Formats: sequence, C-alpha cells, structure tokens
Amino acid sequence: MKAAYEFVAGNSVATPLGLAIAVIAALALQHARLAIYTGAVFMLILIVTLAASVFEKPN
Amino acid sequence: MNPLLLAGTAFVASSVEAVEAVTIVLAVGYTHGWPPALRGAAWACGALAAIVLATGPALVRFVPLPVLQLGIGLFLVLFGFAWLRKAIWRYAGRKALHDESAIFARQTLALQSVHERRVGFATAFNAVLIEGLEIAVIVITLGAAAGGRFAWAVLGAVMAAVAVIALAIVLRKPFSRVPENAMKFLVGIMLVSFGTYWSGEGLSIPWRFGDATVFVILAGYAIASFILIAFLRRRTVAIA
Repeated sequence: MKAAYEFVAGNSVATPLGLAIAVIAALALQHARLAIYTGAVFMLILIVTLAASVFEKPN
Repeated sequence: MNPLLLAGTAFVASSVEAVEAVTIVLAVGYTHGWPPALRGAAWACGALAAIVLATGPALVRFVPLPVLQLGIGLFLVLFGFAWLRKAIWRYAGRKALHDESAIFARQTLALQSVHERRVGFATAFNAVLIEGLEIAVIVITLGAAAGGRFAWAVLGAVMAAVAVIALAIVLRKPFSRVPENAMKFLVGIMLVSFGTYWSGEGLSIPWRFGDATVFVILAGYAIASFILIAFLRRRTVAIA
C-alpha cells in the first residue's frame, strides 16, 4: 500500500488534501450563484496545493 | 481533445521512462550478453501490452465518461504533481539530478559479480516492467479520459520507445546528455493540466474557453512552477 502510494503520489500529504478541498469547493460553488468562478477557484486551489506539496520534505 | 497533444504527451512521458529502462538493458547486454537482455525486455513489453489491453478498453466500456474523467483527472493531478514537484526540487538544487552514466556504471558493476544468465534476464525484465508501468498508467489514463482514444496514446508511447531504442543502437552507450529533468518538468505540467481539465469536466465545471482551456491551465501551472523554482533557489542559497 505504501509502495503504491509512493508510486502514485510520491508520499505527499498536501496533494490529496488539496485535491479534496478543490473538489468540495467546486461542488459547493456550482450550487451557489458563483458557478462562473468555479473553474478559476478550482485551478487556484490546485496551484496552492502544488506550492504546499513542494514545501514538503523531499524523500 | 486534440489527438496530437494527447500523442505528444504520451511521447514525452514515455521517452523519459524509456531512457531509464534502456540504460539498464544496455548494462545487462554488455555484462551478460544480448540474448537475455533482449528476451527480458521483450517479455516485459508483452506484459505491459497485456496490462494496457486488459484494463484500458474495459474502463471505457463499463464506467460512464463523467465518472471516468473525474477519477482519472484526479489521479493524473496526483500522479503529475509527484513528477512536477520532483522536477522543481531538482531545478532548485534540493534533489540530485538523474545521472544515467552513474546508473549504468553501478548496474554494470553489480551485474559483473553475478554470472548466472537468469540474473541478466530478470534484471532486464524488471527494469522494463517497472519503468514501463508508468508508461502503461499514462497511456491508459490519457486514452480513457479522452473517451477511448487509446490509439493516439499508444502511438505516442510506441514512437518514444522506437526513438530511444534507435538512439541506443546508434550511440551504443547510456544517454548522459538527455535533458531528463526538463522532460520530466514538461511531462509533469502536461499531466496535471490534463488532469485538472478532465476532473473539471467530470465535475461539470463550465470551462470558459472550451477545449482551449487546457492551454490556459498549462500556462498557469508553468508560471506557478517557475515562481516556485525561483523562490526555492533563493531559499536554498540563503540557507547555504
């Protein structure tokens, strides 16, 4: 399991967390009146996730 | 989705992995002879083709496209981030660059101490299977999320393998001058861009520029990555 996760995500903790937040935000925004911004917010959360994952300790 | 972009992504991603696999097959060939090296590589290629044929079309047939796009999109973001952040770390000096010549020398030395033919076969088989597994994952995910366009993804991967093998035959030595990190950086950005676009499609996000949004996403990740590299480099210099 650990080897599979290392293969897929390089043992990052920030990446799955950021992905979950991005999906929840995209779903929430679509049901609000802010659907037009969904794409931008989704993208922004993923870029912040990339930044967070880069600051994790290299393995 | 533009099929050429699909084939291009598969080509670049597969080239990187093929370089790593061919380096080890070359080491086996020089130490244990070419028959076990080529037999091991051929068996691994057969196993990889079976994995792609068994899983790819079945995914498209049994899973609805929006679910497939969301699942594969998120997987590609996860997978692509791992590639991209390693490339960013290497550019920022936080992780050592891949040295194919050193890998070739290490592998040759290890193989010279063992003279069994089975070891040569097993080493070549494992190297091609492990490196090729990433190629298989990329071909399956790209082809499936594009609605079953496996032919384009497979074409990109096969062309990459042919190009790398042809280069190995001509050079007859490991590829020490391949800009591997630049290629990994590019592949990472392409994978996360496709992943972001497809997971958005799966979530019914109304992308403002349609299919062309992929290029906007690509530019966004590229700019963010360059900023991160510059920031990490300054931090690394400041710490040193």
